[in-house]
Amino acid sequence: MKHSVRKIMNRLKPLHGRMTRSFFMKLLGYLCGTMIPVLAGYAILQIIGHSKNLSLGLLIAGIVICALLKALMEYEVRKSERNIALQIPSLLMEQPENKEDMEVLQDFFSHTFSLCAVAAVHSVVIVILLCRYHMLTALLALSSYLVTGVVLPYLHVLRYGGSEEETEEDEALEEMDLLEEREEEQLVNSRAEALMTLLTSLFVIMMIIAVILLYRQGTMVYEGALITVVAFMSSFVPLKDMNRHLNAAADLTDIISRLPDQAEKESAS
Amino acid sequence: MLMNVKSLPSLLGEGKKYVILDVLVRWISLAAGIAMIYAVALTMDALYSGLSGGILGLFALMAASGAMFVRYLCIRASCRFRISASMAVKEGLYDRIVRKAEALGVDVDEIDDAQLNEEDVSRTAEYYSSVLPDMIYTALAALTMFIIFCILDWKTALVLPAAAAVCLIVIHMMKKNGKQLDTMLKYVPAALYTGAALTIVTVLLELKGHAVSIYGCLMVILILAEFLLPYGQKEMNPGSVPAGRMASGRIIAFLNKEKGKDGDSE
Repeated sequence: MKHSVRKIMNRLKPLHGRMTRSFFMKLLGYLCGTMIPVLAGYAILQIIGHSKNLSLGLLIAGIVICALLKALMEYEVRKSERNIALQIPSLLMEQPENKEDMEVLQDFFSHTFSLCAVAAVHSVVIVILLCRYHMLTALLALSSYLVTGVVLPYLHVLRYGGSEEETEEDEALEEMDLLEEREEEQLVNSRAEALMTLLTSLFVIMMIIAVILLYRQGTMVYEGALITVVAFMSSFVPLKDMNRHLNAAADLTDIISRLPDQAEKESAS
Repeated sequence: MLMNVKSLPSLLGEGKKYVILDVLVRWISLAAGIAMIYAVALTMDALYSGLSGGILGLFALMAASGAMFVRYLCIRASCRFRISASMAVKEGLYDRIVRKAEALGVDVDEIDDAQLNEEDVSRTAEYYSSVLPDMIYTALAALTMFIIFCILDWKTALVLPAAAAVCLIVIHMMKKNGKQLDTMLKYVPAALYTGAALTIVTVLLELKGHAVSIYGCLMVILILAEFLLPYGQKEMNPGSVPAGRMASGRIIAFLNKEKGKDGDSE
């Protein structure tokens, strides 16, 4: 392959500053979203007398600040990503031939790329938080993030990105002559979304079983049990969003391989 | 162009059935999600009360497992219904446009782009198969959450509608002052998330006042975390609603056109 993501990223060097800022704002937005129920969990513990570390007033103030910060970050990220996407075509020397390919490149480099990084960092932060209470639950969380954030997207990209093997379902889909490309894409997305929901629910159930067993053994206190469950249940948002945008990643390999080479262009001219 | 609103459902034709089914399975998925949260909250309450080994925990986990599969099946079914709705609307519209063109004595390919263009049918189909069910589902989900919050604690239930009312007033005032749609959208998440935060604060204060149990409080928090807080992350496409309505308006105008008249009918 003459082009790669790294090569394109080099071309987008002038945008690196903005992309980094957008990444941090997005990370902050997602962390605030997760911290709202977590802080509420700590407030419950404070009210029922299981934790005296933070005052209720402080926790309530934290919840409101997180909500406002999340709203602000979401707006700023959207604005910043729109600006990044607008500048991408002028910086790419090797322009794709059709408009749709350019849209995929814009979507990937302005949004999906940073979303993957945010999902990874966000997952690490949650694993560190869970480590505070019990190593086993932290390991369970880590494995769930690896399955939903690495294995599932990999399989999705592999299948959506032009796998030759067809399942019975795909064959049935082909028989429906009226299905347009966009509708097929919707089906693939819904399959991924349904699988993601199934897996996250399965991991939540596993986490609850682990928490019950650890609590009964006396190796985990009630504070740990509550915060672990609340934090874990609220932590899948960036991974779900990442999976929703994987079509851009799946199309990317194909588009990059079709990009006209600059050297070839120059020699031809 | 004036649009006969009463004619809009007639454009759905066969697609109406799929739109209803789509909304229904999405609502079932929401109900299953809430059932799962109920099971989790009940388990955590049981742990606090020292009933961790009881039948309650087992029942809760079984309910959660059932809800998990229901949600999986509902998401898959919802997409199928959405596609079927889109196809049914498209087929029905093409058929009606061709018949109307024949009645008017014109060739479909020769219809003036100003009256009806190629994208109108797909925009209308998208509006009815995707945007309209989304709007109905959002209203239904909000109502469901309101009823559940009312059952748990009526004071908590009132916070979100109050926040939504404030949001609508702010948008209306901004619209009056001639602000852009983009500027208005800036404030929508801020009302949304502040509303969610204030709901959480209210339920915490109610817990402190012993007006609500731990499981009730946890249910409110987890429902908001699962269904409301991630809402803003999904892309909003404010243009698809007016575009869809405009396209359906043009189709209705064309279908209501009388032979020999060029103007739009109401």
